[in-house]
Amino acid sequence: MIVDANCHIGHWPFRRLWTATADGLLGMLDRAGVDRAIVSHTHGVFYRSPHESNAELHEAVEGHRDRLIPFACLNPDYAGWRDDLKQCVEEWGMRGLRLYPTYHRYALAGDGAAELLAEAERLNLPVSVSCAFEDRRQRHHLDTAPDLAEHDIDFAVHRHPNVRFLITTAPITVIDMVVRHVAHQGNVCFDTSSITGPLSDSIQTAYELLGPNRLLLGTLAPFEYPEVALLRVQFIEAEAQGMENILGRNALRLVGEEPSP
Amino acid sequence: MWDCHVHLYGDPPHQRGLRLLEASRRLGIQKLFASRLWAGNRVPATATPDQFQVCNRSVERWIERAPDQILGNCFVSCTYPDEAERELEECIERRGFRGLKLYAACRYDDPRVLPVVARAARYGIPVLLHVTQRRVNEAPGQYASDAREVAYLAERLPGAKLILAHLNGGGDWAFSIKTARPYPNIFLDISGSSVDAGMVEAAYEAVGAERLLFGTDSSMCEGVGKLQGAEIPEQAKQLIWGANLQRLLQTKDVRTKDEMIIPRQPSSSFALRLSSRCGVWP
Repeated sequence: MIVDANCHIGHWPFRRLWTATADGLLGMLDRAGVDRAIVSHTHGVFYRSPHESNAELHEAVEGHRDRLIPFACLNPDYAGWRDDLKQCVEEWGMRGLRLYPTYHRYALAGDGAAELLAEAERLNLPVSVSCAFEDRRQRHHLDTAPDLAEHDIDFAVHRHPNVRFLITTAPITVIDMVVRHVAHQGNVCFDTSSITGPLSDSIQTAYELLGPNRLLLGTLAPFEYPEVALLRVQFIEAEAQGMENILGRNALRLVGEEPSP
Repeated sequence: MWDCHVHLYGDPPHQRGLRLLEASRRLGIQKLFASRLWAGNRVPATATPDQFQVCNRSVERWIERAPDQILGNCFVSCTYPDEAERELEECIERRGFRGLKLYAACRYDDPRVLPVVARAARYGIPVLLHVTQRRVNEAPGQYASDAREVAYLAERLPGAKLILAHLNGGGDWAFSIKTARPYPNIFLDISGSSVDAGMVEAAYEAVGAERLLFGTDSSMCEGVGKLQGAEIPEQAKQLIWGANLQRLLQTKDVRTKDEMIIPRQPSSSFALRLSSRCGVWP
């Protein structure tokens, strides 16, 4: 079972994506050989009330729930997030939270986010946090959000030791810093979408830093060709079990599904 | 699979070079069109004649080590135009190199560049041109060109085989595609570490399969994966994987200095530019 931990539905205002729909995304994943995916909606990055995008996400994944695992996008600085979270979880069955602190302009480890993260802990929801979308060299001049910095992750992971964090699109430098700085870190894992290889050896370094249980396949589809991330993973020198974990079992565990042996 | 954009670091058996050879084998890449850009210079743009000679001799040693895998691409700096031409002559006529690689030592509309590229055109070899994809600011220590300066060369040297480097090397690739589209002698190298889905399809739609070249520029999985994932006809992919580069590398006898490819009657604006700079016309 191959599970992609970093996929999106929706448009991106700065360029036309390969697809904006669930059907299109599934076609892309089929071609690459990916069975299931954790998805969030890009519109949540830009709407004043990101919860509007959760309604769109709910509608988009209907009929594909066997393959697409929706994560709800919320902004802890926006009114009514408790009600919105309740609707996402209880009514729409969303399986985790998706946060964009740099686009929504709040501190991941700050007091504003603390209540939302405490609620995620209470509900046992994993929290996926995006470091960035596009390569810094090619961003549109209106796409000004900074990348999520390693100290933001450090502080949040330290402050909320019982929240299960998935950090997506983190470069190897950020992973390295977090692993060095946070003493416990058992509650943070990373996806592979911004880790290159094999010449730089970053993908192998990530595996050695994180071990077999905290690295998850992430393709950043449909922003990027998913085949690339799958090729990178093939260059990790890991035991068969470790490889299975990266390719799918770690993602399933994150969303509370115990993978079959 | 023939990779049009590869760099070597250090002399054999430098670890990174060995990793490159091994990764290429694993990915099924048969030929690497390779240059080396560093030999004590802090950035490739500042390579002196001594340094680019060291780079090219080093590539030669890699070719000796892996003759079935590596094809040499001669690197020079046009800030030293006489030495650059001499080194190109040495590499092409006597050392079996198959192309010319230019970095950002000076912009491609600088009059020092044209004679060197014209020399490559006379040899019939491709010229791999480092560019940024839409220059919106200047990078310190280099004079980076973008597709506009490649177009400048393409207009003046219609017989030159110009390869616009790493379309996915970060930056606005759509701008490069649109700029290069009218020039049949500009080929697009799709290498680079960015892997925006849709880039290959957009390039294919704009210029056709015959003008696209598979490449990695050290981003191995990225180079292979993006072409694997592109939704274009399989026949087109076959051209891009290698047939196009093989066609570009077909040369006449390189020792024959046959017809001038440069237009005999340059435009007045071009003549004005040359006379205002240094007056050199090849």
